[in-house]
Amino acid sequence: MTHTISLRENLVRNKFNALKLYFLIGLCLTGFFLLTDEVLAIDTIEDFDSYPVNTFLDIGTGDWLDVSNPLKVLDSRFYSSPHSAYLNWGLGFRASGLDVSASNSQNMGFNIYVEECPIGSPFFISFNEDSNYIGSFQSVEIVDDECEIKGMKSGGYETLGSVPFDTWLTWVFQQSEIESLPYVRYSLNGGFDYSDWLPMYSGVVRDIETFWIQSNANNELWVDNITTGLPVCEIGSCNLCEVYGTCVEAGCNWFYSIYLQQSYCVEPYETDPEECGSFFKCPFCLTQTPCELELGCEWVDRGLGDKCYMTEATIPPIQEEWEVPDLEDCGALSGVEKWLCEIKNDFLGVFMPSQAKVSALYQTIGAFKEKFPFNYVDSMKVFFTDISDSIDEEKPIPIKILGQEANVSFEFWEEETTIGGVGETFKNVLFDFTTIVVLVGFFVWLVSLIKRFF
Amino acid sequence: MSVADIILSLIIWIFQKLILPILPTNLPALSFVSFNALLEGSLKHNLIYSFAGLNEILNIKLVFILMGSIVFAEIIMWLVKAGFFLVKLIRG
Repeated sequence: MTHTISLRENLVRNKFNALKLYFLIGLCLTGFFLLTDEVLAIDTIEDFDSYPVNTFLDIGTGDWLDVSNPLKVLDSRFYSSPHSAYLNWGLGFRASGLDVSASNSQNMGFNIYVEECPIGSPFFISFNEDSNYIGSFQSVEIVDDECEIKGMKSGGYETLGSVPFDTWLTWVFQQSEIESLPYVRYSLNGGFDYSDWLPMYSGVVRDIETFWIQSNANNELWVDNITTGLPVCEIGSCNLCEVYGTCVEAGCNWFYSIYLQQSYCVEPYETDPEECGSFFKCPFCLTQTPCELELGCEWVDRGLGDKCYMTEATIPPIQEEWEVPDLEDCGALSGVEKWLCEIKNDFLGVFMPSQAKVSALYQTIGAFKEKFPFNYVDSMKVFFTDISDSIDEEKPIPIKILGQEANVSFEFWEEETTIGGVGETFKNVLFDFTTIVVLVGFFVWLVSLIKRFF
Repeated sequence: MSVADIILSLIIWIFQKLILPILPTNLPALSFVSFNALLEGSLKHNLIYSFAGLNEILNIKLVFILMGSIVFAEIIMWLVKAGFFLVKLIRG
C-alpha cells in the first residue's frame, strides 16, 4: 500500500515537475518572441484606401510621424499621365510647404515596404507633374535572392545597393549641399550611409511640389511615415553634414575615425580652447602666427578662407566592409550532385547572414571601437606601429671633435667574427645581446610583479 | 530572415541599446582628440628623431612591446589592488 502511494506521489511529483518545465519553456519562448518582435519590429502597414482622395492627413490619422507640413493624397487609384501612361497604378502626394529648392535645404523621407521583390522595373519615384516634371529615379529589381536598388546616374541606371526581402526601406531626399542643383540621394533603413547624389532628370532647379510612387505592375507595396522637416546638418544631427565646411559651420566637429579610416562629422565635444598644436591640433590655431609656429601646420585657403590645416593630410584607403561569401553555384551540376548541392545551399542559407546585417554589425563594431578605452588603445597601437616603422635605421650620428665635424662610422658593424664556428656580424651580436638584456630586464620585472601580487 | 540574421540582430541590439550608450568616447581629464594629438603630434616625431640609428643595435619594437605590456599590467595590478582595498574597506 505504502509502495502504491509512493508511486502515485512520484507520478504526481513528476507531472508537477513536467508542468513547471513546460511553463519555463513557454516563458522562455514568449520572452524570445517578444524580444525578437522588439528587435525586428515592423510598423503597421498603412492602408491607403482609408484615405479619401483630396483630403489632408491630420494628426491621429493612421500612424504618420509628422504632419507639420500636411500632405495631401492626390490619388490612391491607378495612375496615368502623359509621361507615364504605361503605369498600372500610382500614389501621389502634394506636400504643401515642402520646398526642396536651392535656397532651401528642406528634405523629406518615407518608408517603402516590399513584401516580394517584383521582377523588372516595377516602381519608381517621380517628382512633380507635366510641365514642372523634374524627373524620376529609383527602381527595384529582383536579382537572385535579393532586391537590388537601382538609381539613375549620368550613365543610366546603376545598381546602388541591395536589401533583402521583407524590409522597410527608408529613403530620404535632400537638396544637395555640394551643388545648388536639384540632386537627391537616399539612405536605407534610416541609416546615414547615403547614396551618391543623383541628378534630377531635367537638371533645372524647381521646387518639388508633389511626389509620386508609381508602378507598372501590380506589386505589393506599402508606404508609410511620409515626413518632412527631417533633421538637417546642424547640432543634434551632425552626422548629416557630409563635408568639412558645412560641418564646422554648423558648430559640429570633424572627426577622423582610425578604425573606419574615414572622416565624418560628429556632435561637438568639449575641447581645450588653448589647444593650438601640431598636426591634428592645427584647426585649433585661430591666427596665422601660432599656426605656422606649429609642426605640420600651414595657413592656407582651401575654399573656406584662410585657416590652419595640417600640411599633409594623409588619408589611408577606405577599409572594405565585411562581405558575406556566396553560396555554391549549382547551375552547372546535374542529377544527384545538383540535388545535394541545393540541399547544402538550403541548409547553409539558414545560417548565412545577409549582407545588410553584416554591414550593420560592421558599423556597430566600428562605433564600439570608437568608444573608450578602445579608441585610446587603437591610437596607442597606431602610435607604436608608426614609430617602429618610421625610425630611420641609417641616420648618421654627427660628432664634433676639436672643431672637426664628421659622422660616426658604422663600418665596424659589418665586421664578422666567429662564434661557435658560425660567422656573425658585430651588429647582429650586439643586437642579440641587447635583446637578451631587455628580455632579462622584463623577466625581473615579471618576477617582481608576481611577488607583489601574491 | 536566416537564423544568423536573428542572432546578428540581437547582438546589434545589445550593442546599440545596452553597451554603446554607456561607454564614453572621451575621458574627462584628457579628450581623445587631445590624446591622439599628443601622440601623433609631438611625442611620435620626437621619439622617431631620438631613436633614429638606434634600431641597428637595439630591438626597438621589442622594447616598445615590453614597455606597453608593463604599463598595461601595472594598470591592471593597480585596479586589482584598488578592488581588494574597496572590498576590505566595505567589510571593515
